[in-house]
Amino acid sequence: MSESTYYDWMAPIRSIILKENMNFALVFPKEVRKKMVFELYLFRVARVYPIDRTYVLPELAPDERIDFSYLGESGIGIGTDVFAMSEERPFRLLHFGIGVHPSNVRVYKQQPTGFVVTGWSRRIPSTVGDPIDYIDGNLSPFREPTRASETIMWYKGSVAFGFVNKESITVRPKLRILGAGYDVWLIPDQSVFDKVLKGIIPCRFISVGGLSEIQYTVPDDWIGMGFTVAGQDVVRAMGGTMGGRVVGIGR
Amino acid sequence: MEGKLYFNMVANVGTDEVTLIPYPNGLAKVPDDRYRYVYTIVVSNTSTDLQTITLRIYRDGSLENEVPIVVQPQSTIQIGGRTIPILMVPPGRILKAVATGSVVLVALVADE
Repeated sequence: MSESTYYDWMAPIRSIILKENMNFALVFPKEVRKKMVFELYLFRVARVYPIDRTYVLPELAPDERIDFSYLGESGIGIGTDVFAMSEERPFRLLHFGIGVHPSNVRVYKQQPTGFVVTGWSRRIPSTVGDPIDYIDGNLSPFREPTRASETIMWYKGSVAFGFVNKESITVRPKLRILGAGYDVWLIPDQSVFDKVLKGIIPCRFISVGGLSEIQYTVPDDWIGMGFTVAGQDVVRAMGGTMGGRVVGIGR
Repeated sequence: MEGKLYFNMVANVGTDEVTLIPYPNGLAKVPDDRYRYVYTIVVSNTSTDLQTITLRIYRDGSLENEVPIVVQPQSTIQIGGRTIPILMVPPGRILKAVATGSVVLVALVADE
């Protein structure tokens, strides 16, 4: 995997799209307050094919906003969702970044719909127009979307976007959805997952929905095939015995 | 990294002062977090008289600075290029123009 040791916001999305036979795990939050418990689904990529689409938004005057809605084929919130996934393909995922033009159009994301993607710790979720929790063309340029806009979609997943024009002139923004579709094998084996958690088997971990407290749905075919991971599981994976302090670990 | 967003300011300028706004629609007042850089100015004087167009920078209604540009009869002048700005309008200001007669102004501008 061409991924730096540390998290690089500005890495092109192209550099972190997975290849065939690579492993990745989707990280969903189950409890993220006093107890940190996550549900992970482990996959191996079987097939990959690039996706690249330009989505044009309506004209926006300076400071004009579009509230959260899905990207429809006929317009924002109109028609079929461009990210709609077929129920016949529960093991098809979309992995992509979003490039923005012009630079000062701000794109806010909810994933799933209703939950604003954030890295902050705020009681009240951000709204469109807030000075945080957005990507723009400076962070994720149209020509080269970056990791800052990384998004993963699956059947029964959902994503919505809000926009505000912070340019000084009326513009017609456009988005570039660049990435790949994957056909995957879902790996339900505990012993394999243990090796992943220990770092023995390489795996790319993808946080879903930022650090928000989300309610998510997975395809029926995934149910029962994921792994619930709490702090003590991590400690055990690291070779610890949980004999020390356990404050903040939680289960 | 994506480039800056250029825009035009286009105006028929005469003896009544006009406010220059981005074409086709934009903010006359420079946003608080930007500087408005004027890269190129083209002034066209189709009359048979020499005309002077004056660019004025206002802050909160008060004239802060002005720049007169003289244009010969029946001529067009171009000042500046695309790489180095010739006029910088600070945040919160408004750019206006007035002339001794009828001229057409086109400017290439970017807020950065």
